[in-house]
Amino acid sequence: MHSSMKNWLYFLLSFLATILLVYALNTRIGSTPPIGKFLDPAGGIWQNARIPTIPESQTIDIPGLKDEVWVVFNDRAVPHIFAKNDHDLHLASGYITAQHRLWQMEFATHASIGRISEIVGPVAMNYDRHQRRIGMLHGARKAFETMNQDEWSRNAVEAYSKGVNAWIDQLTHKNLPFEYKLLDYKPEPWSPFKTAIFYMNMSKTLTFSSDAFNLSHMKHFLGEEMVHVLFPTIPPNNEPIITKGTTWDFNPLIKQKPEVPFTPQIVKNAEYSQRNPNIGSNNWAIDGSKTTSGAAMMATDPHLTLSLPSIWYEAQYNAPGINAYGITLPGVPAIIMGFNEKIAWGNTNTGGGSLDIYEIELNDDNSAYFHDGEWKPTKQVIETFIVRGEESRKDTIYFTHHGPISYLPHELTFEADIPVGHAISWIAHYPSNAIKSFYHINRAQNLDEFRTGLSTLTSPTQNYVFASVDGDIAIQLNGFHPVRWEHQGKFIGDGRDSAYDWDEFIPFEQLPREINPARGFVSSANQIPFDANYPYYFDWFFAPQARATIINNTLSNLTNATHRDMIALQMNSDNYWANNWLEIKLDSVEAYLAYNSDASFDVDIADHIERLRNWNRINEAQSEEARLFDNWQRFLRDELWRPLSDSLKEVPHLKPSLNISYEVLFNEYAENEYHQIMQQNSETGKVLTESLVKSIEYLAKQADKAWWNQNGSKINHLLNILALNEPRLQVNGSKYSPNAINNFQGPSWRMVVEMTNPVQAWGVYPGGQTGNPSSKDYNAFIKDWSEGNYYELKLHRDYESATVDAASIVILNPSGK
Amino acid sequence: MKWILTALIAFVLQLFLPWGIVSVAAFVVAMRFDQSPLQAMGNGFLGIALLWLVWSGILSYQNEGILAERIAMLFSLPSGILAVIVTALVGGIVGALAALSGNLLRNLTRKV
Repeated sequence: MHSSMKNWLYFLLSFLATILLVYALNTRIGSTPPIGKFLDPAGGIWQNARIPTIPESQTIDIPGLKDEVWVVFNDRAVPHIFAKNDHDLHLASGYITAQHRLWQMEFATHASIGRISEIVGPVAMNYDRHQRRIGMLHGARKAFETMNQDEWSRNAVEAYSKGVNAWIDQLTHKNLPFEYKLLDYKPEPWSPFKTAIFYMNMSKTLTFSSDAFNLSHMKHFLGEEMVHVLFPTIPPNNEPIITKGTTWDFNPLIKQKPEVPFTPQIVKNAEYSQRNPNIGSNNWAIDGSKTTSGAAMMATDPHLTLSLPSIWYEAQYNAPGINAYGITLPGVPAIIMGFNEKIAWGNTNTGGGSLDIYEIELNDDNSAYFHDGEWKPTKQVIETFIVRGEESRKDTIYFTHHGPISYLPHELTFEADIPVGHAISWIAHYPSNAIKSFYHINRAQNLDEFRTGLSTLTSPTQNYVFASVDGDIAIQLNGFHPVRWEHQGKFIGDGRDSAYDWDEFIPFEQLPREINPARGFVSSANQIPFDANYPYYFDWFFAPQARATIINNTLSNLTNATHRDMIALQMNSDNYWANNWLEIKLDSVEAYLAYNSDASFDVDIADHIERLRNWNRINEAQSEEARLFDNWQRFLRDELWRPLSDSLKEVPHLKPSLNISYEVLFNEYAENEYHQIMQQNSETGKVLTESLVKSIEYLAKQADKAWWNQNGSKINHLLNILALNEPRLQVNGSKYSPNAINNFQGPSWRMVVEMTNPVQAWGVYPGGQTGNPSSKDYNAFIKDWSEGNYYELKLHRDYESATVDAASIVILNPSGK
Repeated sequence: MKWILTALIAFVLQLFLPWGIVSVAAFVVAMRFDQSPLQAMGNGFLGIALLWLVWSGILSYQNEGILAERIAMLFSLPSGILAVIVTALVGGIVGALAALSGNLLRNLTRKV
C-alpha cells in the first residue's frame, strides 16, 4: 500500500514533468522561439528548407480571378505576369509577391503604423507609440481614403489584397515563412489599407527629416547670418540638377515672411538624431547623340538602407494597356522604377523641405492651442495598441492644423526626432493616391503621358529621370513642395503665427524640370536641384556636389556610349574629395613640416604622404590609402570645427559640411565668420598635420587595414538577427562616389535601360527574390551585385515569347472553371 | 526494437498532428512492453531522437546545410551539424520522459 502510493507519486511526477516539458518547448520564452515546435522536423523550421523559390509548373485554382493568368518565372524567380485584365494582374501580383515576401510585407506594415508590440510584446511599445505619434497611421488613413475615392485604384488594391489572402489561406503551419516560426505568430489577413501603409513607410524613409532643432539652437547662439554662412542654401561649387543659368519663365506664388523674428523656447537638454545625408541616389539619361545605337539611355540607382529581404521585388506586369518591367514594393501593386515598351524612368530623392517643426502653445488641459490671435481646439485621436502577453493600451494624440503634436511638453520623446511640445507638418499627412499616379506612369507611352502621371504623385518628393524610344530625355521633380519664404522651415517655426503655415504647394508646372537639354544629358544625385535663378526656396540641406560632379563630368565627355559605360559609371568609386583636395592637403602638410622642423611625431609621416601621393584616389575595397584618407578627412573636419563644438558644448548643433570645411581651409570661404567663431587664427597646416597624424595612428591600430573593413556593405535582415544577416562585403565605393556604398546604405537597385526598339535593359539588386532565409536564393544576387554583374531584364511582348526562357510556368485559374 | 516502434508510431502521428504527439508515441510503447524504467527511457529517447535526427538530417542534406547553418547561428552553435544534433536531443528528451511515464504507469497497473 505504502509502496503503491509511492509508485503513483513517481508516475504522476513523471507524467506532469512530461506535460510541462512539452508545454515549455511549445512556448516562446523571452526572445527564444518555442524550441520543440521550432525544431520539430515535421512542422517546424526544418520544413522551410523544402519551400521552393521557383514553384513547379502547375495550374492553381484561385477564387476571385476573372480569367486565366499565366505566370512565367525566369531562372532568377522573376515573375512575368500575363493577365487579361487589370483586376487579374493585381490579384496575381498579390498572390505571387506574397509567395516570396509575405512576412516582410506584413512586418513592414506593422512596423510602419506601430504594431510591433503585437508581435514581440511591451518592449516595442515606445517605438510603436512614436510611429503613431508622428502620424503614420493618420497619414495612411488619409492616403487610403483618397485611394478609395478613385474606382480604378480601389479595385487595384482590393484585387491585390485578394491575391495576398489567397496565398495566406493555403498556408499551413508547415510552410509558414521562417520569421513567423521564429517569433511564433501567424499572419493576419491582408487588406487594401495595408498598401497605403506600406507606401507611407516609403515616404517616411525618404522625406521625414529636419535639422530645424539643431539649427535653431545655433541661430540663438551664433546669430542667423552665421548659420546661413555655415549652412548655405546654394553651396560653393554648386553643381545643380538643372543646368546652371537656366531661367524660369513663370510668376511664382509668394508666401509672406513673418514681420517679427521668432526665437523658439528651445529645449536645451533634448538630443536630436542628425539627418543622414547618405540616403541618396543617382539617376541620369543621355540622348541619342551620345550613344553608339543612337537611342537614348537611362540609368538609375536608388541608394537606401540595404536589407534582407530587399525592399524591392522584381516583376513584369503585362495586361491589356500595360507591359512594364521593373521593381515593385512588396505590398504595392505598381512598378516603381522600370520601363515599358516606350519609356523608362527612375527616381532619386529630392529630400528636404517635406517636414517642418512648430513650437505650440497649449492650454492647461491640451484642449486648445494658440494660433493667429485665438485659441483653437486640438483634435484628439485615441489610439489602441495590442500588446502581446499583456492588456492593450490606449494613447491620445493631439492634432493641430499643422499636424500632430508628437510629444506633449511633460513627456519624453522617443529617438528625439522631434522635441517635446512641438507639432509637425509633413507632406505625407496630405491626401495622395500614389497607386493612381503609378497607373499612369507604368502605362505612359511618351513624355507627356509620363508627366501627367507624375504630376499627381505627391510624396515622396523626388527627381524623376525619363528617357523614351521617341528619343526624349528629361528630368522632372514631383510632389508637395510648400510655397515658402526664404529660409522658412530652416529653423523651428512659430506655431502661433500663420506666416509659418503651409498655405499652398508649388504648382507642378513650376517645379524644376529639364527636357532635352543642349548638353545632351540630365542627371541627379540628391544635390540641390537649381541655382539662384529658381524663384522658390525648398530647403538648405542637400547631398554635396561630390557624386553629381563626377557623374556630370563623365557624361559631358561621353561619346559613342553603350550600356557598359553606364554600368561603369554606376560602379565608379572615384573619391571626389581626394581628386580635388588631396594634393593641396599634402602640400600644406609638407610646408608645415618644413617650417616646423622641430615638430616630432611618433609616426612616419613622410612615408604616409608618399603613399597618399601614389594612391589612385579610388575607394577600392583593398586600399589602405582610401581608409587613411577617409579618416584623415573625418578627423580634419572634427579638428577644424572643434572650437565651435567646444563653445556650444551640450547645445545641439551641426558641424558644417565637408564642402564648407574645404572651402574654409583653402579658399578663404567665410574667412571673417570663421575667425569670429574660432576667435583665433587657426593654422591650416597645423590642423592638417595633426589630423593626418591622428589618422595614421588610428590606421596602425586596425588589425585589417583595408578600406572595406570600415565601409563595405552590411546587409542585415529586417530583424537584425545575426543568423539572418550577411557578413560585411568586400566591395569598392564610398558615400562620395557614384558607387555610393557606405556600410548599411548603398545602391538598392542598379538599372540601365537602352531605348532601342525593342528596349534593352540590365539590372541587379543586392538580395534575392525570395525572403526565405532557408534558401540559397535568399541572397542569390548579392555576389553579382557587388561585382557589378548585371542581369539582362527581359520585357517580353507576350506570353509565348516569355516561355522561351521559362524556368517554370504557373497558370492561375479562376476556381470552378 | 521498441525504439523502432516508437519512431514509427511517432512518424505516422506527426504527419497529422502537432509535434507534442511524439510524447504519446513514446508513452504508449513504454506502456505496452515490460522494461526497466531506464530501458524505457533509453528506448523513448532513441526512438524520437533518431526519428528527428534522420528527418531533419535529410531535410538539411537536401538543403545543402544552408538552413542548418542559420539555425546553428541562432542558438550560438558552432556548426550546422550541431543544429541537427540539438534537434535530435530535444526530441529525445521528450521521448525519454514520456516513455518513463508510460513505464511507471505500466508498473502501477500490473501490480494492482
